[in-house]
Parts: sequence; structure tokens; C-alpha cells
Amino acid sequence: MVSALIRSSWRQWGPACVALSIMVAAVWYWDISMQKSLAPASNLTGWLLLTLIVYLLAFNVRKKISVIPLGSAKTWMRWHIWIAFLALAVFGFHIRWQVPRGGLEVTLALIFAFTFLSGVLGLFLTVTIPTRLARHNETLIFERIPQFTNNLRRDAQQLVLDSIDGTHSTTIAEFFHRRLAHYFEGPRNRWSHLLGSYRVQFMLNREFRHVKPFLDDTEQTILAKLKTLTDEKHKLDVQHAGLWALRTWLFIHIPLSYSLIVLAGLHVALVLAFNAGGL
Amino acid sequence: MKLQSLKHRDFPYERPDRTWVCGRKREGEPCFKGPNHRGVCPGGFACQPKMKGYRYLCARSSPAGGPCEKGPNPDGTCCLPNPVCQPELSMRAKRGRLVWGAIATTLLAFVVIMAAGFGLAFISPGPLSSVHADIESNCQSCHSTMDGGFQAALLNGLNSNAIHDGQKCLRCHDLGTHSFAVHSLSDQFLSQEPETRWRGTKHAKLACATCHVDHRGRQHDPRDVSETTCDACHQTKIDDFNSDHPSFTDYPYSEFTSVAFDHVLHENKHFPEQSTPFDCLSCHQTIDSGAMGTITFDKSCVSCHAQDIKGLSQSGEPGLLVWSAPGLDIETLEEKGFNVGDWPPYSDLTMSPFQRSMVDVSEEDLKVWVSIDLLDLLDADDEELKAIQRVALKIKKTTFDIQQQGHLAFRNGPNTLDPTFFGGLPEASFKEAAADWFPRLESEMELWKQGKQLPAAAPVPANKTAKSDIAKPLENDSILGGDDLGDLLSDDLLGDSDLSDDILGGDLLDPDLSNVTETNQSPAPAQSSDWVAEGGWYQRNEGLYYRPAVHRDLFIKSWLELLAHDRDPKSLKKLFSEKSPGACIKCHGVRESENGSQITWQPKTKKTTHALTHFDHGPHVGGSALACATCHITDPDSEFLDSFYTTDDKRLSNFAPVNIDTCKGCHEPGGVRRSCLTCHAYHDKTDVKWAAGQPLPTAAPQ
Repeated sequence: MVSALIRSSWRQWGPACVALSIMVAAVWYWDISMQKSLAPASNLTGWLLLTLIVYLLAFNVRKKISVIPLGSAKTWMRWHIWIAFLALAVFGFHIRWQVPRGGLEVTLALIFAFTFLSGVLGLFLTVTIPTRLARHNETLIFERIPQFTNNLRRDAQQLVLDSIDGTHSTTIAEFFHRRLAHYFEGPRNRWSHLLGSYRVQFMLNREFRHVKPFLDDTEQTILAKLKTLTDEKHKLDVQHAGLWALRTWLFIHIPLSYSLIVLAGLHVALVLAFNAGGL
Repeated sequence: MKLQSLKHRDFPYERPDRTWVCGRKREGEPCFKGPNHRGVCPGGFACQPKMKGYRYLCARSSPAGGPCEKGPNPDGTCCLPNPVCQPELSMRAKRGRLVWGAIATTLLAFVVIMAAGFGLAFISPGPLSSVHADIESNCQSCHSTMDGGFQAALLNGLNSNAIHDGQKCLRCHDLGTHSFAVHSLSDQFLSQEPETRWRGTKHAKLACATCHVDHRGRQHDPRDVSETTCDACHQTKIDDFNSDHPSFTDYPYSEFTSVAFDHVLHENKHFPEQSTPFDCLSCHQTIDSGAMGTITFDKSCVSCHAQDIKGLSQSGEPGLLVWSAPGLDIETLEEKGFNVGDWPPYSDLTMSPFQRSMVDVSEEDLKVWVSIDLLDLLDADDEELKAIQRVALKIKKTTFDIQQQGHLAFRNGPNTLDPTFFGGLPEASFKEAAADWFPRLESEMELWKQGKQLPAAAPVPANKTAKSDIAKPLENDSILGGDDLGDLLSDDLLGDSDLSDDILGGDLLDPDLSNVTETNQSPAPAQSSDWVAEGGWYQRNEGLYYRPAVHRDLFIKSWLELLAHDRDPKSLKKLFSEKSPGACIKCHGVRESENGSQITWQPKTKKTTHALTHFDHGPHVGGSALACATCHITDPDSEFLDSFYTTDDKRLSNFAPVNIDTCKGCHEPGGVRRSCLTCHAYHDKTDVKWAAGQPLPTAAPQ
């Protein structure tokens, strides 16, 4: 199975990796050639890097003007990923793989680094989370989750109220009030789910096991239904956590990208202003 | 259990691109309509019931939940009011706001930093190196684009080029007249290099910033240049010193050798004769640049060669003939009617080169003068005699001028002579000599000035004749170096040479005779040349001489430089005689230069080629002669001295070329440094100067 996974990954990523390696090698050779010919290699790699960054940023613009047929978002996404890795290599050539010293340049380098790392994080989340979510049978639309949560909460509350009338006992109601009411209020245990922990589920199951011996058959039937609703809520929380992460990383990546392009513009202006013949 | 239906009728369509969403969405109970595009909740009801027949029917759409169970109120209003909420920004809108916030924050932070007074430090790509730290706040010191301030910088940047910045560098760094040429060398020099050795053109202009970068921190040395830049131009790639570097052909002996020091002779003959160890470091020592220098004459050579300067180790006149009354066949001249007035009848001297440079005669007359036998003019025709008369009179005229005006007269000669020539010429010496040679000079010059014929030479007094014929050699010729009749007479009158040695030194006399000599006889008067044994002017017969006595004699040095500069072949030939006064040319060479011949006074003279290769002796020389001999191996078969006395640079060395294998022994992979720049430099270091007098701009950028 592992070998099948590797083969599958190679079919998916291999050609692109090879193409990327060739492009990085080409840029490296070009950079060395420029240096050896006494051309302003840093300036040239800088312009190349700026071009790549502009292209990467265009992906965000492309998503906003989806009415214009500029290719599928999926294709753009693929290119966005590979161009980003190429940009990292060009960035390295541009700064000669040394830590910059100037305030603006350090800031620029840090923002580039954080933008790239946030992109890598996003790539990781984009690759891993959908697979994990798919294991929970149903993939939900993020915006609808509050409604589903609300529905489950109402169902649970109704079930508990019915149990009082049906059993004349408040055991389940007290159990719900103490242990589950807060749980059904909204999305819970986001980070635990993102980390793939089963601890929450384990704790809930333990709560149900602990209360079960104190219930008669009717109550146990109601408790089983409550457990079903709790399991659904758990799945909903898992979905929410994953979908939230898939959206939230963009709150870091995209603003950083725009800050990067702004600082890059200032950097270019200063290079032109101070570096005579920078073009 | 399935939570979600994807049928469009079962659930409202999500529109994530909307800016506002219902405020109750978070609670899971959003209204179907949602807020308008301005973020205002319209409130209202879940639907607008429709009347069908006489009944109001719920018109709620399927995605919104479908018709409600209760149905519209009797008055036709919807039974499900939508309470007014506080709409929220959608996730995408929040992200958009964050993007604009990030852009604004970035720009605002930049503006604040620039306005806060440390903007320059912020936009600077890094601290300048320590050597440039003083001009760190003055961008325009180095950046030509900043001449008009920040406002004009961007526009200037588009119109400028790196050479303009390089011009700024030259305000402090003097690279000579070919600053931006390859290796800062002239086209003339570069043209000697074969084009095939270069990638592209060797005549390209290269800005300083092509190789030198700064803003790399205080510790950075702008002179640190990547050796990969060498490959930009040099066709021959040397990736590895041990395997790729060609062997040395004549290194380091291709340079002009300034001093004729035959290492082989001195090591094998002269030093052993003096029982002195031949130690390289007794004459050589490292200097600041890492080159091996030669210590001064006074500290090394003087012990053996002081006598060469004083003329004690050679025969002949120890002094330099500066002025004379040249020998002339006066009788014939007067017989033919070409009187020159008084003239020493027994002079056998010639006109000195120095005199020739002072006396203003035509080239034609001078040709006659030098081509004819002046002591026998019987065969000369009238034209020749006339030319000789003109030259002779010019000699007298110049002599008269010097006699009358002293140093001022030298300024009026055909050549502008260095006034330092005559600083030591005593007035009395010259006047006495002139009066001796030409007794009636003043009256003769007066006649000549009036265009009148000069009288015939006055008869020589009897005592003068006697003195000239017999007594003069006796009086003047040296016991040590005298010649002709003088030697004979001195031998006759004073006895054999042993005795004369005794008289001068006294060591060989027996005590009794010595006492007699000291008590009963006055010391023999010194000859004029010996009278100035420690240097100075003296007259002997019809000549006025200068005798050097110390190293670096200013008169002799200036005079030889003048001769070399004129490149008079005859004078140069005399220069090459190691017997000439001062014996300067015994050790110092003459070389061609742009300004004529030059005498190489300094052991390390200005080089003929540019020193782009350097060798730091400091870390190599261990302090023993063996360390020197590790690389510098003498070549006994070299014809070093024979090749030395030429004016060109094609001289042989005393040493065999350094064997590159010696270098490779240490500069091996993993050993000591072995990059191109270890031994080679782009600029000739001796040409790069600090223009200390140039003020640096102090105004801060606008």
C-alpha cells in the first residue's frame, strides 16, 4: 500500500518536480553566467523575482474575476504552487543565500519568507485536510455548518425534554445539562480536531459509559439517540475545524502577499534611485 | 445521518462573494434574504404571502424552507417575521479588509519610518564598510543619482549609469587616467595583450561597482572581490591552481633590474674574498606592501663601494669635467685670420658634454667642431675654421657670462638646466679658472660685441710656458693616477712609488726617517683633485672639474639624468662607462621611458609593466637565507652583467625562474589559500592612490 502511495505520488508530483528542478538549474546557470559576464546579476534576478511574484499574486486576482476565461482555478493553483517554489529559488539567488542587512531588505525578506511559509502551510492543509474530512462520510459547506449545529442542538434539546416526559426522570437531562449543553452550543475543540486527536471523542464516550449504568432501558434508548446526535456533532466539529483552517490560512497568506508586493515596489524604486544603471 | 442536501431546492445557495451576511447566521438561523449590499438588514418577513382565490398562501421558497405549517396571518402578512439583525462581514470581505489594512499599514509604516529620522538607515541595504563609514549619511557621496536629492533620484536612476557612480569613487580613489578601462590600463598597454585572451572586448568600460560592493557591514572589505569575476574576461580558465596554472617562464624576473648586482659573483667571489657571509637578509628586507626591498647603499654596499664614488678605485681624472678651454690649434687659426683672442695654447681637453649643453652654437658648427681634429687645423678650409672660430668665441662668451653673472647665466643657455646643478659652484673657482684661461676676456668680449676682430693670442709668459710644459704635470698630476710626462717626472723627482706611498701614509718608513720628514719637511701640497677628496670643485689645467664623494651626489645625479634625458648617444656611451666619475653607472641602469632615457636610481624603480601579480614575502620568508633560496636559485650561466648595460628592458636575470612546483607544495587543495586573488590583483596596487586633498561632500541629501 505504501509503495502504491509512493507510485501515485510520483505520478502526481514527479514530472512537476523534475520540471521545477530543471527550471531552478536553468535560473542558477543563468545567474552564474550573468555574474561571470559582470552583468548586474542581482538586478536581473530581482526583476525575474518580481515577475514571478506578480504572477503569483495574479492568482488572487484571477479568482475575483472568474467571469473572464483565464483558465481553470485548478490549473492556476498548480502553477501557483510550482512558480512559488521557483520564486523561492530565485529569491535565494537574488540575495546570494545570505541574510540581508538593511532594515527594508530584512523586512522584505522576512515577509517573503512568511508569505512562502504560509503558502506551504496552506498547501499542506489543502492536501491533507480534504482527505481527512472525506473520511467522515460527508463534506459540508462551511457556511452552512452553523445551521447544522443549530439543528443538532435543537434535536438534542428536544430529545432531552422528551426524555423527562417519557421517563419521569431527570438523569439524562442533568447529564445533558452538565456535560453536553455547552458542547452542542457551537463548534468545539477546533485545534484538537486539526491535530487529529481522538481525545475529545474518547472523553465523550467515557461520559456516556459512566452514566449508562444508572439508566433504565428506556433511558438507555434515549441515551443512545443522544449519543448518535453527539457523534454527528463531533463530525460537524471535525468538518468545521478543517474547513475553517482551509479558509483561515489565507488570512495570513494573502495580506502578506500584498504587503510583499508593496515593499517589493518600494525596493525596486529605491534600487532604481540609488543603483545607477539598475535597469 | 445526512446533514446536508445539495439539492438547490433544499438549501439556499451560498454566495461567499457577498460582502455582508445575516447577523443570525452565526447562530444558525439566518434569514433567507440577508442584508443588502450596504450591510443593512431589511428586516421584514420570511415571505410575501400570495393570495390565491380568497386565501393567502405561504410563498416561502423551497431553499428557504418551503411553505410554513402555520401559513400567513389572516391579514395576509407572513407569520414569520425576520427580526432586524446586525449584519456581519462575510469571510471574504473580512479578508479583503485585512488585505487593504496590510497595504495601508505597510505604506504607513514606511512613511512613518522615513519621516522619523532614521529612514536612511532603514532603506540602506546595510551598513557601509568601516573605511566608508564616515560618509554613510551622505548618499550622494557615492550615488550620482542622489545629486538632485530624493525627489530627482528615481528619474536620475533611469537616466544614469554605473560609470557616473564610478566618477564619484574617483573623487577619493585615484586610478590614473584610465580609471574605467580594463585593469585601469591604457589602450596602448592593453593592445600588447592578444585579443584571444579576452572574452568580448578588452576595451570595455568597467564601473567600480562591477566588482566592488559595499553596504555589507562594517567588517566587509570592498576590496574583497569574487574570483569568478576574473572569468568574465579571461579566456583561459584556471579552475584549479595545481592542475591548470601555467608554469612561470620568467617570474619574477621579467621586471627591469635597477641595480647591477651580480648575485653569483658576489656570492661566489667578492663576499668570500672579504670573508663575509653572503646572507640575503643582510641586503633585503620586506617592506609594507609585502614586497622584498633592498636596504640602502649606506647600510650595505658602502663598505666596499665607497671608493668607487670617490674615484679611488680607478685610474684617470676622479672628477667630472664640467667646463674647459678645449684644445685648439691657435697658431693655424691666427695664421688664417680667424683670431679667437687669448686661448690656452697647450690644452688638450675637449668641450665637455655639460659645456655643449650650455653653449649656444648651431648644429652645423657643432658638427664641424666634433668632426675635425681641433689640435691640427692645417688641413681645414676657411669655412671650417670660421665655424671653429664661432664655437670658440661662443665658449668664451658663455664663460664670460658665467664669470659675470654667476648662476643667473645658466638660465640663459639653450637648455633649461636644473638650478641645483650650480648651487655648489664657488664663484672664486670659476672666475680664477676663466682668468687663467682667458686673461683679457672682458676686453675681448667688448670688442666682439662691437663686431671687431679680436686680437691674436697674447704670447705666453715664460714662467707660464715652463709651468705648462713641465711644472704643471709635476704639480697637478696625481702620484696615484698621473699619466704621461707627469708620471715620469714624479717618478724622477720623488723616487719610486714605495717612497711616495711612504710620504702619504708613512707606515712603511722606518721611525727615524719618519721623524725627519715630520720635523724638517712640510707636508707635500695636495693636488687639486685630492684637495677636494671629500667632494667639490677643482681646477686642473684648462679644465674645471667636479668630484663626487658621497652616494646620491646631487650634481652628478642631476647631470646624468640630463644626459640620459637628452639621449645624446655619445654622452650615453660615456654614461655606460663604469669609470666615469662617481661610477654611478657601474651599478645603476638606464632604461627607456616615455620621457627619454631614465636612470634607475632606486633599487625598486618604477616598473615597466603593471604589477598585477604580487607576492607577499612576509609569511613566506622564515628569516633565514635558506628560505630565500627555496625559491630564488641563482643561475651561474646567466649573462646578467652583459645584458645589464643596455637601455632597453631586455635584461637577463641572475636567477632561474621560480619553479611553480615550489608554490604548489603549499598551495595545494586543502592547504593555504590558492584563489586567483591570492597572487593576482585587478588594479595595479601601486597605481591606486588616495586623493587626500579632495574634500568630501558634507551636505545631507534633500
